[in-house]
Amino acid sequence: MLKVLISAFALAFAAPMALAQSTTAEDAEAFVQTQANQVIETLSALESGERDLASVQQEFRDRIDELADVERISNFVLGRYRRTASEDVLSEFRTAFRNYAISVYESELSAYAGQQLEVTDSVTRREGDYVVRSRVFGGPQGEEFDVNWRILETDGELKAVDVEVLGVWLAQTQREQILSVIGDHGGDVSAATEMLRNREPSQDS
Amino acid sequence: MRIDAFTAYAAVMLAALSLTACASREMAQETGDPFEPTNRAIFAVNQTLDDAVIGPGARAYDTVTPEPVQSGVRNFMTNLNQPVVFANALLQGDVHAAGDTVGRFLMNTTIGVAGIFDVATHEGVPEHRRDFGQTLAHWGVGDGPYLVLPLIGPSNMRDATGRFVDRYPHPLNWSDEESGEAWAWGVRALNGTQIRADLDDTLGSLNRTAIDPYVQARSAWRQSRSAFIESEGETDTQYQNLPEFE
Repeated sequence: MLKVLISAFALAFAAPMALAQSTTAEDAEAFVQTQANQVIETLSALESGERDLASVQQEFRDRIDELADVERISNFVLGRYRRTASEDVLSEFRTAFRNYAISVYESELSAYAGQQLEVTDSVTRREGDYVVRSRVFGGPQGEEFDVNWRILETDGELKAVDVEVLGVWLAQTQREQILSVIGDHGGDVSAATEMLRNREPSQDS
Repeated sequence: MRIDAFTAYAAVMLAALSLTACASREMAQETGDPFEPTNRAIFAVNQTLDDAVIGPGARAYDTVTPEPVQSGVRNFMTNLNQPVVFANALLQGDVHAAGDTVGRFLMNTTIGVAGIFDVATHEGVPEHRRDFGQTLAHWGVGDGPYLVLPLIGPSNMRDATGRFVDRYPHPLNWSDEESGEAWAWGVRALNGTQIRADLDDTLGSLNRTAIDPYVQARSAWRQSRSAFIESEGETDTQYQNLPEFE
């Protein structure tokens, strides 16, 4: 009986623990390499003329949630204002930020057409929080540079929340800009939403 | 006279600096920008100049200059800066880096034809990057208020001081008479053009993704500069200072 109770106890507590530890640094490295390979393949098809820009952009839009945790990033860039704004205002901001993130994703990834990415190693900050280091090479002028990815686990799935190129983390830079806009408007999150909306068309053109 | 002017300048600058070194990149982002209205005005002038003259000039240079020539220009400028690297490596107590730097300078200046060819790297002598702003950080001097310098762009009180001090060990300034000659200004202009051409893709990417270009430039420069200063140590350690995503 005691054995059964211990087994039941172990099952009840060990199973959630196992779930909490479902990813490793190797998984994070594989995630970045796989996602990069898919993007490179798509960009190669675009370069060779097999696919047109519109279909590639549509694919990026469809796949952004597979690659990045956009909701977590939008919460991060709002900082403390996430706790003071109403749910309606937050919802509008998240939509505008999502469109902005997609436009950045489309315009910046296209610039990497023809290049290769190779994961080099990774650092585990803590369980489920990794920095995956990679090297990008094969550009037209033979340049090589490091790109580092902040990968977080949510509900057992790995997603990117930030990317570092030349020592600059993208989401941290976005956060500083958004907090500055909100701060300049007396804490009004709608001001940042408006600014993101106003800049979207120029990115889509 | 020159030393007196330097001493007075350095004393004023150093007095204005916070003596608490910045512990992390996240903290660096939180540092204030008390001169923001002035900085924004200088940033706007710099942007206008870059859009009208500097950017197009650098792109034209990039178009007409073959990559091997540009590589030679980069090597030459890097070699010319080695006395600055050597002095700062010593000031930071890094004897190995100072030794490597002397070796590189001698090898590239002679066999590498005045530094145009980087034979030292080919021979396995590592290149180091050191400047006086970094040396001040190494000594525990904080970065101080953010500054936008005319033509040069983002900086802070500590690194602007560093730039001023680094002029002294640089060979272009070894002779008072020659440092003002047209050829010396030509070398400086070529260096600036090469740097701007090399940054063109990065600046283009920043422009495309900007929400507020001024704040973006400030944030990107601070992060990049902090990463450069922290890169003296273990990069793994700096990852522990990354912000949390709730």
